[in-house]
Amino acid sequence: MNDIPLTWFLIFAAACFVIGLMGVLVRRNAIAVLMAIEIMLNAANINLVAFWRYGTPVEGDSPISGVMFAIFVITVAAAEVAVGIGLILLCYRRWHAADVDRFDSLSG
Amino acid sequence: MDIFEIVRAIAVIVLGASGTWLLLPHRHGRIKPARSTLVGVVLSGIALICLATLWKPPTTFLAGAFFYLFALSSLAGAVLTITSRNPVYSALWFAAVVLSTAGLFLLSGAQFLAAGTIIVYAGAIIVTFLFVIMLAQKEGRATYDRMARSPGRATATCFLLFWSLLYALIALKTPPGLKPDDATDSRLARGSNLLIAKGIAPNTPEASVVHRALSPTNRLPDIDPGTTALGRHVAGLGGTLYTDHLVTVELVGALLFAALIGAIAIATPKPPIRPVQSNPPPPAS
Repeated sequence: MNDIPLTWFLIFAAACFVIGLMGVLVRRNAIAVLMAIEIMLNAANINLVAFWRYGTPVEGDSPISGVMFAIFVITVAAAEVAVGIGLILLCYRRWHAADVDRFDSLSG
Repeated sequence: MDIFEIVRAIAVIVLGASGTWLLLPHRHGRIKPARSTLVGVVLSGIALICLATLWKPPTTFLAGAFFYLFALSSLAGAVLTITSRNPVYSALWFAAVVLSTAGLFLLSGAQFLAAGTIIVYAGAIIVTFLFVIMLAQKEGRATYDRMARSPGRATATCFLLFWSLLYALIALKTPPGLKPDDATDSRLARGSNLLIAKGIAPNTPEASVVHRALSPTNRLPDIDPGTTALGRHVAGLGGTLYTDHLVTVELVGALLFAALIGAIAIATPKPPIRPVQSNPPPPAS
């Protein structure tokens, strides 16, 4: 179909993952941290789809298993966003800020 | 290993790290001068272009051009997502990242996944993000949006990780000179490959025992695997989803249901567990 090399996708996914990790480490807004986590999950999805596209299919395996993995990753991301946003709303009501540095009641 | 590629990778790391560090908010919330933001944009742009030169084109022109377009816009959107001071802008740049990623999925031949990514991420998750930003945001810009948590150390850590990943990927391009070893393969055989590895002939009692004991766990036992080979299209995807991965679909449905209940239980306002003595009991008459 096309012949984009596999390493192009891998380098792109590595860059995307690293930027997402930096967002998780740097940002103090909890919603922005959730967005950075989603960027990291997107990078993992790119890797899954690229390896599915370029790998040789195993005999007896379903021909579309990489896409299956990516779909399940998206589903888990949706569940994570739902619970995470519930937690952020709860913490905002408690501390009147969505600042992850202030959510430290459990840190002893 | 090509020495020029290493040099370019180092240039990507150094320029990208300094550019992103200049773009990040100040550590103590002070206002950075506009010139440093400009320099950061220029350095990050040069780093992206250097990264694009690592993608040497042994490819068709159109696919390569679309890959460059989607990948570069996605990376630029990701950098802007994590550096925007306003979380609404962050959400909109995140939408750009998701749309570009859907384009990459289309390029690698996963059409349903591209559509699903757009629907789930750009349609549902970003709308939820925007709603929560509207709900949980003070008037004006909050101070914690203008402050970054130790930007220097975070940038150094992340770009060191990026350097190691890039080094591994560039080294992986050269043929490593390893051939698949048949003896190792037969020792590592598992599942239904054991039949071939151990030389058990089909249609013997041992073969049927092994087949029943070692059938793949993601497959229902009663379904003939020959009927599910429908190809890589949406029909094949639906067939695979509801035959091979039926148990996984049920599990994922249960997970989504639990997440729904959990989100409702967490986010609904409740009275505090140990209320302060706000309304004392009426005195006994």
